[in-house]
Amino acid sequence: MTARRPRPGRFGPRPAALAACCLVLAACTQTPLTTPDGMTNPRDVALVCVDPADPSATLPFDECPADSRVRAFITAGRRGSVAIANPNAPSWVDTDKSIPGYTPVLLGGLPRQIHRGVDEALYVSMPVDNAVQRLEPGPLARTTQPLDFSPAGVVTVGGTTPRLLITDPAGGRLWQLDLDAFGMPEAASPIDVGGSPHVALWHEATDGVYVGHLEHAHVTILDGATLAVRKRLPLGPACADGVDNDGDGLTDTADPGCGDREDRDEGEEAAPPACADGVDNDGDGLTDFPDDPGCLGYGDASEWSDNPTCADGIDNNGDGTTDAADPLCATGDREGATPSDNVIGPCNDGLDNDGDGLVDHPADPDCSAPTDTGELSRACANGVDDDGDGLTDLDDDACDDRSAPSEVATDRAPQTQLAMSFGGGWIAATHRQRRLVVFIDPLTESIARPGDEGGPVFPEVSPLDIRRGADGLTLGQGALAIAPVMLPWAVAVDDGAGDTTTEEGQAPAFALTRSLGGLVVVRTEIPEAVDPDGDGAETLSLDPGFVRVATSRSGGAAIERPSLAVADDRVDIGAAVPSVWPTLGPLKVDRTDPEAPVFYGMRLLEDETLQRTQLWDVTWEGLVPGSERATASMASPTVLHDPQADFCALGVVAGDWLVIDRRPPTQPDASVPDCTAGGSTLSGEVLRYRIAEVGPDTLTIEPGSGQIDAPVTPDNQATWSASDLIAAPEPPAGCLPDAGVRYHVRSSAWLVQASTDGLLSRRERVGNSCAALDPDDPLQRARMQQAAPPSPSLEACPVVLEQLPDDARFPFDNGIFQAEMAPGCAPGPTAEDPSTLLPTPRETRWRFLLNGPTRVRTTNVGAHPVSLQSGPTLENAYVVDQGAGALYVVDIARGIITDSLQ
Amino acid sequence: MTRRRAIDALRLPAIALWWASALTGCVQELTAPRDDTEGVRYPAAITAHPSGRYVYVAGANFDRRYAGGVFRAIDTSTMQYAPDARVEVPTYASDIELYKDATGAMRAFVTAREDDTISVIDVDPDGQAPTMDCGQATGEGAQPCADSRRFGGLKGADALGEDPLSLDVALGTARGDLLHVVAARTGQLSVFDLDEMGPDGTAAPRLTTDLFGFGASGVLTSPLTGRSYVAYASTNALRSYTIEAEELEDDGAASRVDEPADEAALEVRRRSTILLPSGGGGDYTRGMALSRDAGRLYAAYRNPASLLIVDIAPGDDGTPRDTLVDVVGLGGRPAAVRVAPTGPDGAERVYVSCFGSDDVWVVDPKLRSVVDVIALPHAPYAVEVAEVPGRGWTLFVGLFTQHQVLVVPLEADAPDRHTVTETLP
Repeated sequence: MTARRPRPGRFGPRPAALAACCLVLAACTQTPLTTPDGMTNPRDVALVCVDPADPSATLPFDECPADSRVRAFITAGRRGSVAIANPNAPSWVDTDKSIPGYTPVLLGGLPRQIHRGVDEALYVSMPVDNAVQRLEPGPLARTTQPLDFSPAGVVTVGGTTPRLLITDPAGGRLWQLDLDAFGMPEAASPIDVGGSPHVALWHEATDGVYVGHLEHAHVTILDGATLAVRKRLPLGPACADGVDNDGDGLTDTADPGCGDREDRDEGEEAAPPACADGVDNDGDGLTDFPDDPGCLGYGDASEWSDNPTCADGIDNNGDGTTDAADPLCATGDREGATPSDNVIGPCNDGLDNDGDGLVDHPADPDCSAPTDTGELSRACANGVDDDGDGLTDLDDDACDDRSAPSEVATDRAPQTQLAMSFGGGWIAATHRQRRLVVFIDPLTESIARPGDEGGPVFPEVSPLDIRRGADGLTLGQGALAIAPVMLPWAVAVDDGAGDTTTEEGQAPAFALTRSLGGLVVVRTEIPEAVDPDGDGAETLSLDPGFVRVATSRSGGAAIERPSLAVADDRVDIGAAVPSVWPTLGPLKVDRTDPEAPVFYGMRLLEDETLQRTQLWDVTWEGLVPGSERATASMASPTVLHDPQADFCALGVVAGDWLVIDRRPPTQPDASVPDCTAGGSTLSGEVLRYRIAEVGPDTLTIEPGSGQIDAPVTPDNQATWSASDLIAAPEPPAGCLPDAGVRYHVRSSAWLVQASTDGLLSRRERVGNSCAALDPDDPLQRARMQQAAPPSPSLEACPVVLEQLPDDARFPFDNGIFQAEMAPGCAPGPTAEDPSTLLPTPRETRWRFLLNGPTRVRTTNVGAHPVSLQSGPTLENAYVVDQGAGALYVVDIARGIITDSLQ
Repeated sequence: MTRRRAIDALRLPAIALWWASALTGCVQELTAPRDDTEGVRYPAAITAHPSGRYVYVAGANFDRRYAGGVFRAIDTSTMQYAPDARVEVPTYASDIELYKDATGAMRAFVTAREDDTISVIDVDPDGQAPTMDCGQATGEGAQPCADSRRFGGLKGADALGEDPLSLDVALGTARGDLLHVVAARTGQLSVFDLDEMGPDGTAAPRLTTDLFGFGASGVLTSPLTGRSYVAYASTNALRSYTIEAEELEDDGAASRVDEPADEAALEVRRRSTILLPSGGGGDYTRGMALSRDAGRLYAAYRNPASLLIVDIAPGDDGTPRDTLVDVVGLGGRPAAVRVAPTGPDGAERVYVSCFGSDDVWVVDPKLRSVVDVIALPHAPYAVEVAEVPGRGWTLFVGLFTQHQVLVVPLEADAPDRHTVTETLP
């Protein structure tokens, strides 16, 4: 046997040696393709155009003939470098051929933002060095402008005297200096603009300077000539934008016109809430927030949150006077049964001061007695400077009201980025934390909002978003960078005579990069064929509008096969839903319907903007999310009051069940004795009452509607009978704790909610009430009734809806889909026996995924694409990814990366 | 000779050589001397006493030249190691936490990766003397702690899991004072009730879980919300959890260990996963620190090399937002993070050691911007800030491979601010 011979040319010793020799020789004669430090942690990119006739010279960028002439200057490195790339080659530009490898420009310090000025020079902010450097892109000559502050952004402004503007976020200022004076000490002069200026942009046509802020949610518009503030535009709710919008000297939640941070108007309402109405509503001598401790904030609908005994309609201490008429109440004390009860403290004030979900003595174990002070107050009402910043409670900016859980500000920083569209028609501004991009019309200096009559259209913004006050487009992740691009379009136009022509063109657009990667493109014009006079002859319409570039799903929007769970256990529904369970329809998609396909019994309605991708839950007697609380008291036998709840925002509606648990929070499984008071006896641990009226923090129950709560379960489904339910009176005074009543709210029918849109019955507060529900508006419907056969004995099982009389059927339509729920039933023991209607167990849940008609086109451009610039033709975007230290060239029309450099 | 016989002929001597070297290694291990060197070799962890009077340094004995590493105290009044304060800790020490118990005693917990244990060393609670007591013997060089002052290991009720890299003392939580320990290799989290620790400072864990997976490199608890955060060297994510009274009989997630009869068992509830950018490669989060108001978490991140700023303040609904706010680019291979009020008007500054670029980067977290880079002679790893009496805020930086600790003044008015003023061997 002979040893196996290696295959020539692969592992044989002679070829290997030869290869090694070649490698060594190659190493000796070639320069390694590296940029030492040049692309480590890149931060920003600026583009210049090299002159085809003289590669060492540059052309004005506006005159650049092609992307192939572009050179990218990238601030990066640990030792302060600017790497230069020829991104379309792709290759690096070596600035010093005497050094092996590609050598970047070494500026020292840590160059951050880089901007191509109106003079075609590059300006680089150097925050560590407190300087700006000017870099001539051809000869790479440098000049330094020393500063007295740490600069963030730089922008040049043209005109008769070109100037450089430098943002100073720490000082709330913008600094300007003439470009001619660049490099001279103390040449820069400050302009106070307020906020935390971070980036700036010059709009030449209106000579406006737009300033975006690091921590303040607004855009400041300055006059380009004088740099006087023209306007401040909020990026989000007026009560959280850092601006005194109504000019009353009070900003955001310090303004009584602001109910909370989501309030969109600082102006006072026609019917202000009790804590902002200028009236001492509870007669304790103290008026409104923040003077009255019963007011959690300006938006609180009652002043007596801290003192329910003075507003319960009862003469609690038997002195013959009731509530505000009692001298004790008039002096701010309690109308207590005993003198020791009269003084209000953290353990008898009706509030969950420490945010542990338990209120006062005896519910909160931190309170050993009503007079105890053991229940620590919430961070914004405890008299302590919790975060050590020298500011206590409401003096601390982070405390919007007394109920705020912390003195530490939640990060709401917009870190705004700005970009101007090609032609200057729009300015886009981003808010990173709100994942928002808004569009400013520079001519009117106003934000184009979805739903504005006569304004640009926002085809992907749903009417639900508009109802909630959408300010622009919402992105999946916060925007890191934004730049103008041009986007080609093509529209087929039918001339009505049988001929179709394809119109083509380009329209301005914006490209945005997002946190954790991804580049999306937003159109600013919506090209479409329209038939204005209905004669079949279409014309091209190119109206202003904003929509992300997306691809259509084949077949459009669709609903995926639903799943069923009963009492949290998933039911195997196989090929057909077992008849014992309620059902929305057969488990098949029916595309034969001439109007629209039916998905498992559900039919999607026409408005595609409402058909966004999200999960829908349809739950029998479903728990209203956020309503499970232990912070209420009974203001009267028929009114539950929870000062920390907002039932309007939760979406509670009249007809829902208020479920009250009499058991103490610390003993959730205990049994409680019957309670007799005022001639009524209250039995049962858990009671439910139908809600007759919903207020911001009150629920009024329907007299006579009370029952001991005995829900249907899978175990008792066959034997449960509504006639077995035991009636319960309204809770007599003394039969529930003075504070800390445990409760939740359930729908009395099927609760319909979506993972993004939530309960459509959510609404705003108006003064001391909830905004009225419009019964004709399907977009406010979140309760689906179940078909109710007139007799519990059925002819057919499963129930056939079409066989039921009209008044027994309750088709549901929420503007997004139509559906109808058939009840479950049990067939008789034999075919001759009638079937029986079955009650539905509580928390039976159908869940389905609705896939929207389009999918946003996203180009993967690394992990943290921090900077983005458009090329001279605006057809390509140049993206710097801090994550991988890479430069990507993205073809905007196709949404693909065409070149990359690392 | 056939090829096989030739291989056999080589195999026997090779095996013999391997055994010989292995035995030699064992003998060397048994006879390795106590570390009596002047300073601290391979400083891996630095922690300051709250008084600022002493700064404790643990050496890793990374080359295993000695029987173990040393735990020493820097006297900040002289900026010298206290001469008589020296204790041996097992090789590959990784973290130090101080804890003052209800009796007023103060203990230093020091993790060691070699034997997966924690050493418990009593130090002066007032920080006025460099005393160290862990039952160590007297003798030349650093002496090891008594067995009764160490707990953990790989087996037994108090096993910490393999490679306990980080620990954290969480004070005043709803479950009392707790000690959290994460093990990198097994991903085990061990939680100890500090109120139940015996007089020697050791205890069995109240809870262990392996929910957190391979590569757990750090753990930190927010005093604001009680939520704890786990960092990973091998995954681009942070995860958070809370410790709760166990509700379920057995969900397979937590195993009860040595549960006192009168107390509810504890369980870990995972709360959030914070996804982080990934530039490729497999090295991610290292050290973490909290802002002084505990509203933000700062993490030294390697992919890209950066400081992560994470919003962990309670949102409007009272639960932490746990949102990545920004990624501030730094030098090479960030390692450890500390926070001090050394900016203008006491504004916060974040100090991050960058092992790969030989410097400490200074970040203004409000501006999300680097404001200075402190150049150092060689690779820094552990860092600590302390308000030293008479000096003000001072940075202590361990140069891992140089066996040095450097002292850097941080006060704004210090003439030598951000420059190395002293070097301890």
